[in-house]
Amino acid sequence: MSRSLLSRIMPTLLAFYAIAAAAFFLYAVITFSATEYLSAMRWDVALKRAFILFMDYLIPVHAAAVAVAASRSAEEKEAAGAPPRPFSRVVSSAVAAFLVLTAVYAVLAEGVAPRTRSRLADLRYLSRVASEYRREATAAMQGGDWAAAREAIDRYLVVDPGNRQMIQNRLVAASRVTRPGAANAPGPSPAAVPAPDAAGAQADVEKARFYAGQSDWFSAHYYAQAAVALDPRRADALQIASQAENELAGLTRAQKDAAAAHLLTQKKDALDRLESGDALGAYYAFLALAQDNKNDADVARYLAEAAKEVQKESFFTDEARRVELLPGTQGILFFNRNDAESTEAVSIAKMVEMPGGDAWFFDIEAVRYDADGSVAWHFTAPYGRREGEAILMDAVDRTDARNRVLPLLLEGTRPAAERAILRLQPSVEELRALSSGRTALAGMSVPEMWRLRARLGAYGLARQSLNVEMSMRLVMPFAFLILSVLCTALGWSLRMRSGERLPALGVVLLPLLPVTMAVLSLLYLHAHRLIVGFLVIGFGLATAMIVVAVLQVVLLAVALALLAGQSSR
Amino acid sequence: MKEPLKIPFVFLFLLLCTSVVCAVLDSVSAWGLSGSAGGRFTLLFAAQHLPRSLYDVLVPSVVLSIVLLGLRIARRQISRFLAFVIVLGVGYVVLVNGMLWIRPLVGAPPAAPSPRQFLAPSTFARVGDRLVAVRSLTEGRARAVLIYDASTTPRFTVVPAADATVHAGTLTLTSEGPRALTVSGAPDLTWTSVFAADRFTELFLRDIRTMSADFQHLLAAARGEFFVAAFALVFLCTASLMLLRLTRWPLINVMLLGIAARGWFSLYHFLAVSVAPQVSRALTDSFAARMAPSLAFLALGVLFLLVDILFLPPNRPGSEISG
Repeated sequence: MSRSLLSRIMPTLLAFYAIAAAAFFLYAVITFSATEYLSAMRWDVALKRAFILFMDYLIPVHAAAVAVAASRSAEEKEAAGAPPRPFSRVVSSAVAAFLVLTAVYAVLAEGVAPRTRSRLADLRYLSRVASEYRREATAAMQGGDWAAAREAIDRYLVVDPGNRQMIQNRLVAASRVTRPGAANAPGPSPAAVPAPDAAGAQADVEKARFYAGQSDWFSAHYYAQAAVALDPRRADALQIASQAENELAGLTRAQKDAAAAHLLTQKKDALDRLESGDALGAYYAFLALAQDNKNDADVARYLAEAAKEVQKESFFTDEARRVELLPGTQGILFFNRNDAESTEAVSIAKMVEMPGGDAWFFDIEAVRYDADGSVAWHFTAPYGRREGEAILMDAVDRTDARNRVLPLLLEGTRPAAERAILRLQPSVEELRALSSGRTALAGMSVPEMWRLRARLGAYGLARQSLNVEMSMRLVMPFAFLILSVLCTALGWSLRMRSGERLPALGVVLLPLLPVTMAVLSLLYLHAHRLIVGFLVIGFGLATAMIVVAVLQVVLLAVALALLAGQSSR
Repeated sequence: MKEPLKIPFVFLFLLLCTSVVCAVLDSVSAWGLSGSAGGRFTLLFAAQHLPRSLYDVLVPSVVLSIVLLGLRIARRQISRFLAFVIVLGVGYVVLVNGMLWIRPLVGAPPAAPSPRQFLAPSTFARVGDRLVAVRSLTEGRARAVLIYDASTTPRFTVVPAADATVHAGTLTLTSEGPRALTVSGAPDLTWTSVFAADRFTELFLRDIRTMSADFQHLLAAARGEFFVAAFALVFLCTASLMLLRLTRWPLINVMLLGIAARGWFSLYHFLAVSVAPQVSRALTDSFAARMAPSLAFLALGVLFLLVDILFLPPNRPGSEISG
C-alpha cells in the first residue's frame, strides 16, 4: 500500500461528482417544462435545477464515491517484505480532507443552494408573468388595440429580450400606433400582419395634406412625421412637416398673448389643485400642460413636484410592472392581526425588495373576519408598495387618469380613507420567512431562522416546524462528515485483495452503488428527522439542540472508532 | 463454540438491536403524528405503544437482521448448506413466533388522532392542497374557518363553522349553510411537515407498511397462509445471501444485497397491490390472489438457490476480508 487513502479517494470523488453533475444536468434538460418556464430560460433553469439536485443528493453520491475509493485502495501490490503502514497514517489525510469537504458542503448548502432555489422560483414566476403579457399582447393585437399591444410586448421583452416573434410583433404594433386610422380597427393575427409599407406612408401624407388645408398645423405636423417614420424617402412628407413647423412658430402676437394668458390660467388651476391636496389631479393637469409647453420651466417644476406628491399616497403602475419582473419572495401567507376581536389574513403572491428597505407587493388579497366567521371586508389588489408600516395599493397611470387601479372589494366595507391602505405587522425580513413553501425556509440561513423564530408564530407559522427545519439544517454537515468516515470504514473493510483488478460484473453493477447509498443515507436522515421532531415537539428546542449535539458526537465517535478498528494489512 | 452454533444467538442479538431501534423510531413518530396534541411525551405512552411498534416493525427487522447476519457469515468458513438451513430455520421461527407472541399484547388498533392534532388554533395547517386555519376547535366543531387555496380566485374563503373529522389518515372539514363546502386531504402540522419523509423514503415506508399489514392480516384471518407467507419471505431473504458471493468485489456484493432487500419490499407491494387483484379476477379465487406474492417469492428464492449451487464458488471473498 504505497499511496495514501486520500490520493485514491480524491480522483474517485471528483469522477463521481462529475458524473452525478452531468447526469443531473441531463435529467434537468430532458425534464424541462416549457409550460412552467419560458423556452429561452431552458439552459439557465437546467443548470440551476441540476445544481439543486446535485446538492440534494450529494451525500449519497459522496458516500458511494468514498466507499468505492476505500474498497479499491488495496489494488496496488505492496513491495515484497515491506511492513504495512500504520492505519492511522493511511487514513489521517483522508479524514482531514473530509473536514475540509464538510466545510465546503456547509458553505454550498447554506450559502449557494438557498439563493439558487430562490432564483429558480423567480424564473418560474417571471415565466408566468411573461406568459400573461404575451397573452395580453395577442389579445390586444387581435382587438386592434395596438398601443396596449406594444406596451404588453415591451413588458414581455424585458423578460425575454431575444424572442424574435415578439420583436417582430412589436415592430408591427409600433407602426400601427403611429397610424391612428388603423388604431381601432381589428387587426389580423400577429403572425399574419405584414411589415409597414409605402401605402401606410402615403395614407399619412394624405392626412397631413388634409389637416394642412384645414390650417390644423399640429395635426398636419403629426401625420407628416408619422409618414416620415414609415418611409424616410417621402420628401413631400418632410416638406409638410417643415411647413407646419414654420406655421406653428409664426403665430401672430395677438395669438401668442391669448395663448400665454390661457396657459397662465391653466397653470394656476393646476397649482390650486396641488395646494388643495389633489396631487393626482394636479399631476394630470400639469402633464397635459407639459405636452404643449415643453420648455415651460414652471410646468416642468410643478409637474415633478406633483409627481412627488402623488407617490406619497400612490405609485405609478408602470413602475410596479417594471419591479414585478425582478426576483422576489413568492406565496406569502400570514395573519396580519389576530386578537379577540378579529383575525386578518393576508396573502401576497410576490414581494420584491428594493435597496434601502423599500418593498413592492403583487397580487395582494386580504380578509378580516371575527370569531363567528363573519367577514368584515375582503379585497384583492394587483399592486402594492410598502410605505412605512403600511401597504399602499393605489396604482395610477403615468399618462391616463382613467387607468387607475384600486383594491377590489369582494365583500364587506372599508372606510374610504383606508380603502387603498393596509397596515402591516410583519417586517420585510419576516415576510420573507412567511412564504408558504419549503423554498422560503430553504432560502433562509440558520441565523435568520434563529432570529425570527419567536415572532413568526404570531403570524400563523407553526414554530415547531421552523425549529425542526433549523435543527435539521444544523445536522446536515455532521451527517456528511459521519457518513464519510463510516463509508471509508465500510469500503476499507470490504476492499479487494491486493493486486486484483476490478471484476467486470462489479464494474457493470457499479451504478447500483450510489442507489443503495441513497437508500441508506436517506433512511439515516429520516431517522434524524424523527428524533429531532420528537425532541422539538416534546421537550422544546433547547433540549432538542443539546440531545442532537450529543447524538452527533456519539455517532462521530462510533464512526471514527470503526475506522480506527480497521487493519492496514 | 463452533461458528454454526453461534449463528442463532448472533441473529437474535441483531434482531433485538434492529427491532428496538426501529420500534423506538416508530413510537416517537406515532406520538408526534397522533398523540402530541394531548401534551408532553410520557413513559406511559411509550409503554402502551411499544408492543404495537414492535408488531409493526418485526417483519422489516427480521429482513434486516438476515442481511446483517449474511455479512458475518460471508466472512467465516461455514458450509453453504448449513448456513442456509440455520438462517432459514432461525429466521422463520423468530418471525412466526415473534408475531404470534406480540399480537396479544398489541390490543386494539390506535384510535384515529383527533382533529386538534392538526388544527392548532390560529395556525395554518395543510389539508391536501389547501391551507386551513381555525379560530377555535371544540369537540370536532371548528369556528371561523379560513381556507386558503392558491389555485382559485379569490384565494381566501371564510366559513363560520365546520365539522372536523379524521378518518384513515384524511382530515375532512365540512361546512353547511350558504357557503357549504368540504375540504378533505392528508393533514399536515404545517406546510413544512415535521415528520414527512422525502419521496424515496416514503415509498420505502409505504412498501414496508404494505407487507407488515398483509402479514398481520393473514395472521389474524388465515394462519396457514401466514405460515406460508412468512416462510416465503425468509426463504427469499436467505437465498439472497448468495449475492454476497456474486463477484470478487465484496463492496459491490454487499450493496447488491442491500438493494435486493429494498427491492423485495417493492416487489411485494407491486404483487399485492397491482398483480393480486388481477389474479383474483382472472381465477375468481381469493386464495390464489392472497398467495400470489408468496408464490412469487418462493419461485425467486428457488432461482437464487439454483444460481448459488450451479454457478457460485462456496466462499469467494470471505477468507481474505480483514477488519
